[in-house]
Amino acid sequence: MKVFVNGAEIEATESENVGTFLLKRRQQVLRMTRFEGNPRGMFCGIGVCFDCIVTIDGIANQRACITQLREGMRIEVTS
Amino acid sequence: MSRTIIIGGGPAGMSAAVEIARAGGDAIIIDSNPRLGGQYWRHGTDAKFSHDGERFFALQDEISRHPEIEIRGGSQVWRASYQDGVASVWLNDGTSLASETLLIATGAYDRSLPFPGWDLPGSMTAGGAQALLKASGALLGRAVFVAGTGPFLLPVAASLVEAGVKVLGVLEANRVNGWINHLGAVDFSKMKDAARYFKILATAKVPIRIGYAIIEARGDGRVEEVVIAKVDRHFAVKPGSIEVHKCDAIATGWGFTPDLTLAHSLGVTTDIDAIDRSVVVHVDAFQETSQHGVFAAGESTGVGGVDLALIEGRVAGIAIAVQRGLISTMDAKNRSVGLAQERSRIRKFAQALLSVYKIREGWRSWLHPETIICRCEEVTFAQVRNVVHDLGASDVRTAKLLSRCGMGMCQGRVCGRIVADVVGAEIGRSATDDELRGIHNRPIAHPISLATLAKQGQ
Repeated sequence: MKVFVNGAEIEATESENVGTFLLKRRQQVLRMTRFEGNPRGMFCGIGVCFDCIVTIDGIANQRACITQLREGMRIEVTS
Repeated sequence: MSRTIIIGGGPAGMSAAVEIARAGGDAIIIDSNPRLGGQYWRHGTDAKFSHDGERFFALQDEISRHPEIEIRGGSQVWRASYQDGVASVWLNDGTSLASETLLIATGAYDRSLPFPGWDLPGSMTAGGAQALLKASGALLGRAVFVAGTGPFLLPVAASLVEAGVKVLGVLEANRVNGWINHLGAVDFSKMKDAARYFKILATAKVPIRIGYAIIEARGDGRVEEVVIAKVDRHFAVKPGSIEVHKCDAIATGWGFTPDLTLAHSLGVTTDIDAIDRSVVVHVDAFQETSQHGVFAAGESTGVGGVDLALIEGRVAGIAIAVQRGLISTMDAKNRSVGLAQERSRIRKFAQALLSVYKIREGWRSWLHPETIICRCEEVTFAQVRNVVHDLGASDVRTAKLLSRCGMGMCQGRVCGRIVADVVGAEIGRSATDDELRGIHNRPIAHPISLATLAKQGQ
């Protein structure tokens, strides 16, 4: 299936969550914090901490670690 | 009577579902994960397990043979309530369910301690590192340290080694030398597990350092090096013991926190654990909570591991079957032979582990003024001190309101206990039982869209 990361088309081979998909492509940083602009990535990995939030299909604050990749998904990462 | 609602598809929820189905009942299992198994049996589409997969497949097979057990995976309960003997839950797909019987099997997540740099990308919880690996073989880094306290650090480090990660060290902050020798006397199966992990770590020449901790992570935009130190019995840094090591990721874990958000919403009575002061659901011998028809099993009643969760789930499932009139109490007794004794034995073992791997108050000495306490709202240690000493906050709630600590998107799941302990120390007393309970008060458990909310209002 095809997904888009910051507009770039990427082939995804398996259904996995957005967080592990990005990590395997060396995308450790998923967002910048809103007050200090510091980089953040996955921390708890199980949907508890909300540190890995990214914009998916135009909807902000989606947890990368518990959101499954879907065909045509558009993921926006800030780094 | 409506079918039983089971919140959580981990070991406790699965074993309860099996007992209900065996008694001829129906149930729905709700889990945020698309697949059954919970955190312990977290797996990807190919369901590979390094070990202990047999028990999972046995449960999953039995559940799949019972069409009256529905599995609602990838679904989150964002609200729960209890009124007039009926428990109701609202799901993030806009639907809701209600039943006279409900099981809280919401499990636990890593307990974290803050330290300078814990917010850098590349710094993860031990459970998080494990979850990435189990779900899809993703690695948090190439060269990592595993640190914190508790027996869980060993399987995490061992599975990282097996996945090809260079584990530079396992740092256990507590003085557990000698303790490991008692393990066998208490629980032989745990001793066998531990021996397996030690063998993997020894073969890979991973240093296991007892009485050491990561006290700082540093790097430009991500973890590039760690500061480790020898700590005393209270976790205070021993002078002259500081070392700096290069690495590209760290996994830290300090035991587990039961997830009590929905339990709190259902209004069940909670206890404060005598050893680690965590908030746990109060249950009777049948795993029933203070609310009639609402049961709890697994980590939500106190962290005890997979074996305890499986037994508590069975006890709860059988008790639910009796309450629903599916089986007689005599029948239930026959189905429960040995369960109560086994539960009591494992609970004692779990309590012993908790006291050995207790978090000691000296961790606060690792904090710098600029260390982040609340990751969501980016509140620093200096700001927390400020609201106590300059703004006069004299209780945890006021300190949170003035500093925004614990008021971000995770709703204090990560820093709630940390804030309670830090504020308590600053005002010169321990957090009260009610302050600890207050950590779990989250009327909206997970964020939902306005569209979902509107749909549910119809």
